[in-house]
Amino acid sequence: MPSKSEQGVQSEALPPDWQGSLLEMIRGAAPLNGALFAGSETLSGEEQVGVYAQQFRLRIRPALHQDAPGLAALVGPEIEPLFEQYLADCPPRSWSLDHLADRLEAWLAQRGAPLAHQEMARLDHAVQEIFFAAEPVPLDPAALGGMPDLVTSPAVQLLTLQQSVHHFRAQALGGQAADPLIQGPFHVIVYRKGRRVRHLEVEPACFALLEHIELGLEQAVGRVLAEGLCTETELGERIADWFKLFAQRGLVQTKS
Amino acid sequence: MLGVGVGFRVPHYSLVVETHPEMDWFEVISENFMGDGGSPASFLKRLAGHYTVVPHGVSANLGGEEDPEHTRRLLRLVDQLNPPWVSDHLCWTRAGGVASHDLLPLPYVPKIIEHVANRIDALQQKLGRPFAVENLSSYATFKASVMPEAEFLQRIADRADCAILLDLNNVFVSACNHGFEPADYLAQLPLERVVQVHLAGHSITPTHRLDTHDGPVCDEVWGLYEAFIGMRGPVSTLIEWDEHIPSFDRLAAEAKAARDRLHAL
Repeated sequence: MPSKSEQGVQSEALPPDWQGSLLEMIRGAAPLNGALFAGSETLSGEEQVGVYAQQFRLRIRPALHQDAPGLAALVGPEIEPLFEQYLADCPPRSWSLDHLADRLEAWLAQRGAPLAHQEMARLDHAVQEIFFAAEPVPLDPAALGGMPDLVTSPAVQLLTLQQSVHHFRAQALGGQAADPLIQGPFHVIVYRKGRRVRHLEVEPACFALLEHIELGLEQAVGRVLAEGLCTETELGERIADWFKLFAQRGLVQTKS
Repeated sequence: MLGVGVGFRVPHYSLVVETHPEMDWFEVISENFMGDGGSPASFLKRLAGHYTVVPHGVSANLGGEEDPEHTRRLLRLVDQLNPPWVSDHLCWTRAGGVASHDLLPLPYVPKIIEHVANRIDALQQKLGRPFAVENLSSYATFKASVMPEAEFLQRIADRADCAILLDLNNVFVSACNHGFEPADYLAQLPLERVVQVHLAGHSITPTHRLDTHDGPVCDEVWGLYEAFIGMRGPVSTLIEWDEHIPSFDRLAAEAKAARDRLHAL
């Protein structure tokens, strides 16, 4: 049997931004409206759109929990309305569900959320980014003789935290009762070793040395001393240990 | 013809790359392996070292605008895997910068045929290999549509000169939801363009069927598969199981059930 198109039946005009309007309904930013849809024997046009809206909620909410597990643990039951509002204000923009929480820290800051919430969102995001970051290139011992230019590895992020959210996250996600948050600052290196993302709290001078490593060793050391983070003597005693740590954990690589 | 494969899913990553169970081939969700590195990349490298791996996307947004970053990363993945074809869905997934994270249906109108065919044509040229477009499970029908879904798919495939990934579970789910005959759907398709079949389970609600990939292939879809391979001959087949994922042995048994049907031809 010839189809309607072959019979010359014209299509009902589609509104210019039919996709944008439909997506607003699906993500709950606009009321459901079935005007575009024919419906079926069992579902009205509005209910047909509702199926997609329900699927959106079922897919996105658990994914956001996966992207920000530390924040969910820290906030507790109130996380559900918080996530709902976040998704309403910051709809998904990436094709990857792994980027749902990309704007969470900024959004929390904008609404004046507690600093610990903002820092936990930053830590969750760092872990997420490092999980998918490019492979670090191990240092070549032979090249170290000439003291090559070093950079931090792609699977490393340096976070200065004012609250002990890193301890809280590790305990809560490890199934332990989390200690109350304490005031910092804490200098935390988030990095990937093998397939696992880990974090490491280090002393400020070590953190600053890694932070400035791209400037070259001489300048990086100069910055550490200029910032008064340790004395020359202390630096001399500790710097070998710090470089050993950087190499063992894959925190630095040769600048390409 | 690749034989019968299964989707490569997280609960089976370690088992598969460490023990190399018997399986004809694997399909991966492209977007899950488009990051720069880390655990997924490491598993994929080991998988591809032992099996044929075909990337199957969910976010090419063929019914909307291209995301150049998505395409760039897809091309990088394809360079790595060198698959016989690449696939994604006949749908749209984003608009106005917002991602739906769902496969949304299109109105079956000539204007959309032209748009989708142009997108596929451009992508296929960049890929340098066949692109297979997959039919959806859908839960809504546009008043604007002027042709049946099978004709829409056929006309796009002809216009773009691309391959078809025929999801028989989706045909069945959509047939139940929209009241058409699956056999009529198959009769409308250019069978020679079908390079791959998807088989999966689905859920039944009081008002509609949902493509949930959360269980075994149902009897009706097995029947449709037998009818299809009777018409088309052997075709690469893939079992999808994405929710309530069973043991690999159970999944492999589902693949064997498909393989037995292929060999019975």
